[in-house]
Amino acid sequence: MDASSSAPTSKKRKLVEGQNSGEREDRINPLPDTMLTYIISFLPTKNAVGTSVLAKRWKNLWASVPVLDFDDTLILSKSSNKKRRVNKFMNFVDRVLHLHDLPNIQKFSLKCLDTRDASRIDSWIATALKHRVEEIFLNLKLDNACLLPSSFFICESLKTLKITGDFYEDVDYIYKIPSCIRWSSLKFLNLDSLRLFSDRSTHQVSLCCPILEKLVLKFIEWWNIQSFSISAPALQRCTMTYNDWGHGCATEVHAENITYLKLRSTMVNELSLHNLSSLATAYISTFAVLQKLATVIYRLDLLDHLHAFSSLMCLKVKILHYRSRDDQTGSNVRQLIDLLYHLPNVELLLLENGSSGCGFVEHEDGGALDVIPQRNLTRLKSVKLRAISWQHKRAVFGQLSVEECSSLGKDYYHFFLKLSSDPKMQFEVAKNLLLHRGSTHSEIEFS
Amino acid sequence: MKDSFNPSIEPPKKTVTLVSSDGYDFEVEEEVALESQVIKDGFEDKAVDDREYLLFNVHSDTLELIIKYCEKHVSSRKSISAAAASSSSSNGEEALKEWDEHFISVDTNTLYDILMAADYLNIKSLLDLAIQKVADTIHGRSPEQIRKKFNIENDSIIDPWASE
Repeated sequence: MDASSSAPTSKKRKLVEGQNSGEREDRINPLPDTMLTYIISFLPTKNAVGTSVLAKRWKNLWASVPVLDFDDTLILSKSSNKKRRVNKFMNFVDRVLHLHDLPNIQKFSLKCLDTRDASRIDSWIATALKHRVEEIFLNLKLDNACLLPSSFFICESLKTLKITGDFYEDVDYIYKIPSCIRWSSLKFLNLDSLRLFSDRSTHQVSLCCPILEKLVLKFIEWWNIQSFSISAPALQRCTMTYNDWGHGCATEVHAENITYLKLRSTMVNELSLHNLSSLATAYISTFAVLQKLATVIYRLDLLDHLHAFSSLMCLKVKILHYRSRDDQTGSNVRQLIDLLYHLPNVELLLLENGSSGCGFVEHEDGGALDVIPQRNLTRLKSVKLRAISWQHKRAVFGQLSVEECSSLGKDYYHFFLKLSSDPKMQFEVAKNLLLHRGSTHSEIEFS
Repeated sequence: MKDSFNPSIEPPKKTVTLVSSDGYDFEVEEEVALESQVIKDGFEDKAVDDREYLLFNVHSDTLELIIKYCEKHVSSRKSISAAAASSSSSNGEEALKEWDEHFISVDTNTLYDILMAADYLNIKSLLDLAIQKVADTIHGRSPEQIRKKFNIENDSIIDPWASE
């Protein structure tokens, strides 16, 4: 640190410590009420209410804390009779909601793993909604589907919503959703490990969040929903992780300002992302072979709108699937080249095989490489190839990268190659790379 | 794996002087001082040669810690965004969290000094860090333990929750 030369000496520090031990012992009482309330807001409501017994001054402080955080696993731990414990928890929540004296609730968090009284839970959430709650966190384990109050799905005060379930017990986390959801103030939405179902005959659900900035959908299972359409014009970051469970739901995302996309999918269900012109970073991981991935990317409007990926700067492609024998050798390469053709601004390209399989294969004769446009990829700075299996003589991907980059005379290129253990192959590739004048920095890892 | 293309030499940094309650001068980089919302508000209106702040409520011991925190956060933010731009894998955020945790593991008195200073200077992330630490101390303790820990005198006549 650049602190001045007049930093305190150890001598002075000793003096201060001496003072501390004497008169400055009690430091929490001089704090203003606002600060104490702020401290209480970081506690689960059970402990927050508990502070009321500390001293006179603390008696009513908790009631002016705009944060309510109920967790039945905390309340329930001490008593042995489950029914009694659950009743005690429910009475506690009722009482706190009754005694709480603020007009607005900033954050309402509810975790119920044993409290399966859906109507009570419903009324608590309704109370929070009445207090114009801004953040809701739910983790509710119920016997039947959770019927959230209808006002929940059109709540105008909600800014953050996170509903989580349990990946292994999703049968207990079922939420019935209406066909039309509109959260006009919502900025962050995170749904994780849930079953969503609709009882409408249209089987369509539309979600409209005009100022949503960040969306996370993880392990969502769709029931009786055939299409899920998200309209989020202000969305910047979107993470979708294996929302492929259930009965084939087509997801459609309209988010023209999206800059970051992380997608993991088996691609069993339809997924369309419209207008990705501002996309700058994308991580796409799929069990499918490249052809399938390419199809996905085509579905991301690549073929219809050639500039759809014009802003994309980083592309990581990870292929997890073992290539079947029926695949046409070389078609992967062609599709990769097709893909690169549409990524004029890409700076980093990571191609990775997730398993020991050979998702990427080089073309028999490397002929496909002839079609690579020399003027393309002018901004490519770094190519990383990991765990690519090199079966044939010609290290097509090695050549691809080197030729692409070297023809441009850029300053730095970075090669990270993880090659097969075949020493002949290693030599071949290393020679190929090192002989290239355009490459100023190469890193080759043999394994 | 470090990326070999790194930003070039940066221009000399502008500095600001912070004066502690016990009269010590601390010269810090402008962007470090701007971590404080109080300093940030109205910073542009102040003349460049008059960028000296008298912090009447902050002792030099505490100020030293606060500056250390701000410098760490400014530099980490830069390296995290640089890592994001080049998409090299980085655990910068986790490392920073770990650093924070270590930073705030101080004795109760120092914790309150930091808390009050963070409030006075309006450094939201540091205030939250300090408050979380206090809350963690309260969490899971019996009322008697809390009273003892924070030296709170029990002046309640009747304990209304005693039966719970």
